[in-house]
Amino acid sequence: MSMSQSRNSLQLGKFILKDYKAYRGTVKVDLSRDPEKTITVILGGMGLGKTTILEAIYWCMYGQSRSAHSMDSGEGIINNNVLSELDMNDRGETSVEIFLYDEDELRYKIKRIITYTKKNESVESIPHSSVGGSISTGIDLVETVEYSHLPKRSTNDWVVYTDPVQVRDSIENIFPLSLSSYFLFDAELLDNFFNTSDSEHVKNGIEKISGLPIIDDSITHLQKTSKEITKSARGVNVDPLKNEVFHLEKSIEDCEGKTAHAKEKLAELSREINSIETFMRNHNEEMITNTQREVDGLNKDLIEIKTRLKKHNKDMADWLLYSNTAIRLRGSMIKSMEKCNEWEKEGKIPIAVSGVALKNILSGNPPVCICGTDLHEGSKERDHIKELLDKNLVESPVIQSISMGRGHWEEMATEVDPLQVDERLKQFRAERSRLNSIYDKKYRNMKELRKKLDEHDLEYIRAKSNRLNELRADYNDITGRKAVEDEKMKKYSRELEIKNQELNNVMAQDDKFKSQKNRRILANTLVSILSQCRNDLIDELRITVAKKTTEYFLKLVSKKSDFSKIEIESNYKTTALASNGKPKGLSAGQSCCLALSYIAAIRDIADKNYFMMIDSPLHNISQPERVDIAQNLPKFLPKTQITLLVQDQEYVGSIDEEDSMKGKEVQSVRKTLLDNNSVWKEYMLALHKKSGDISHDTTIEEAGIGQ
Amino acid sequence: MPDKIKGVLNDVLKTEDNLEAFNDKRNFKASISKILEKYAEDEEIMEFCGEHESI
Repeated sequence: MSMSQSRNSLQLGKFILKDYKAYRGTVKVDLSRDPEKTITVILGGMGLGKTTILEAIYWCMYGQSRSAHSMDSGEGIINNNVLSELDMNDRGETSVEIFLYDEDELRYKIKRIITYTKKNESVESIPHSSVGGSISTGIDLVETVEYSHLPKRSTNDWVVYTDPVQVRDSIENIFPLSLSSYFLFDAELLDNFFNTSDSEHVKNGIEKISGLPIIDDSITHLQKTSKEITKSARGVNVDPLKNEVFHLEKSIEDCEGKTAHAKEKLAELSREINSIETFMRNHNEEMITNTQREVDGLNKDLIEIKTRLKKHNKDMADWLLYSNTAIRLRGSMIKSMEKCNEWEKEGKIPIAVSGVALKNILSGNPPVCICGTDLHEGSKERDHIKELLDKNLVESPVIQSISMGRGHWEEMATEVDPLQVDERLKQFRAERSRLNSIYDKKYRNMKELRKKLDEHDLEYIRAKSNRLNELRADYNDITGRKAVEDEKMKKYSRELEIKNQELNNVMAQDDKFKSQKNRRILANTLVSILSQCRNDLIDELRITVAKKTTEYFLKLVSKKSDFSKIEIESNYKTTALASNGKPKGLSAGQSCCLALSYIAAIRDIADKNYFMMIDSPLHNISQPERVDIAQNLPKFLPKTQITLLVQDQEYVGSIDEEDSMKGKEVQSVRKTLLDNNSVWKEYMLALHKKSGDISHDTTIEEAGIGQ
Repeated sequence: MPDKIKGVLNDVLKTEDNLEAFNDKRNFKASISKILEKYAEDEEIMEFCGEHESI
């Protein structure tokens, strides 16, 4: 089986939200299906509803909430304003619909709907496990789901399922839940990608995304068929043995069911544990102190920038007042200067020079003026100057004032040259805008940090910590019970093997079972070969993924020389190795680079090129790293449909935060992506509130490239 | 591994690929049974299976 042969591109072409969470009314959003301009950008500030989009698509596909955090956030699935406007017994509908394309053709449609009736005035929402989200206590509801699939290309024979189990199985077949983090993921996940205790993400990536499921299915199906063959054999000698085999198989199935349930539960617990661990990492005492310190630092910076701005504005106002007056007088000053020069030549007014200076020139040897005029004894010019000096005309206050005035006119006329004034004004404005931009950025940053500080409610943190302890205890308890079931399963399997051998021997002695026996032996041989192939393949894939991850990581990460390679061990533990070969800890930005590199590597070996929707991927990392990632993302994931849910700061920000006081500008992510011609469309999230609304609603507006 | 066994494996994997493509995993029994029935009469294949089983 060649993986490249079956590699096809699965894209999310469109999604439609109706009265879902903050999105009121019907919101339709088309996403890029252009193989060159693969990126669609959805831009919006904190709390505007970017993550809600990710939640909506996840909910539509799997009928559950993506994270424990969003489940207990209290935000209802149904839009609060819509609910509050309903009269008693009014009915309504909330839905999310997605359209998935295989290559260039629409192949899958999924629509999840909640139909509800208002029963009382309450708009308070509480977690509702069966619909996978919070629901207002004031309504009765029915949840339905519809999955449509076009099995054969270029036909119109849609197969539609509405049975929830059939829908779940069908979606699981194409978009396995365990792989959802490979196409719907957020910054929180990127941060934690390699921090999970059980390496589940890495394991799933290698074992499930890489085409191995076909081998796994073959093994399972051959084993089941082999059992069926035995069951079909009839005879006095084989029946008792068959019964024993049947009971052992039943016991194994029972254990398998319990183990699978335990695994599911463990994965669920693991997700919640990770989410709380992340929360706790960001909300410990040290973090509070550091955040407070950061807020204080930003406050100080803001005061300083404000003072600089005030001074700058005053300088600009003073200068404008002076220049404005001077510009208005410039014409008359130039005219006056020309008139004075004319009168001076005609001898009507004295030359603009002091008496001392004239005396110095006359007593010079040789007596030559700076303009080159020879002032020797008897010359006409010398006599004229002497006359002026004798009549005391040069030193008189009136003449001196005229001379000084002429000097000032000249100076002012040069200074207020309109071109120079324009240039200076531009400089003033640029500096003011730079200071304002730094101020805004720092102000926004401080607001976000303050919001974080508000969340540092000790009671809440304590409750989270208790919950974490409970979850860990549950995790250990279930792990223990799973280990018992695993042991039982091993024991039954050994017994089954012996009984099967006995059964084989009995059947071998009887010619009438020859055909069944041969088919069974063939099935078992095939299982054995495929299992060996599977193990070899996994090892090969793991090594290939590690190599490719290293390759991508070293291209993406800053301070490349600090690292030598990325290692993925056979238990899927992933480690970055320093140049001396020892494990090296990673910063938030480096973790993000590693996660993206791993995802890119996995996609290289995947049999399906899934779409990717990424929430705030560049949120916690420095500006130069953001630009590096923006530069490399389309190269790492060619032909992959990417939807970026980003905040202003991470998308249009162009100043390196750490260097903002020095005003060090770097290219923005937006400019980088636009320069590379990678962006298909940009959308903006906007807030709306009508009078009478109990909360804000969000709308999505098309922004258009370059606007 | 004889080419014939490779042929059987290829048939099995192709069938699974088709079952997945048509979202029709419930029909695996009929498909796999047919393959086993077809090759279980082949002496060369069964000889290899016998050797493989005894290892």
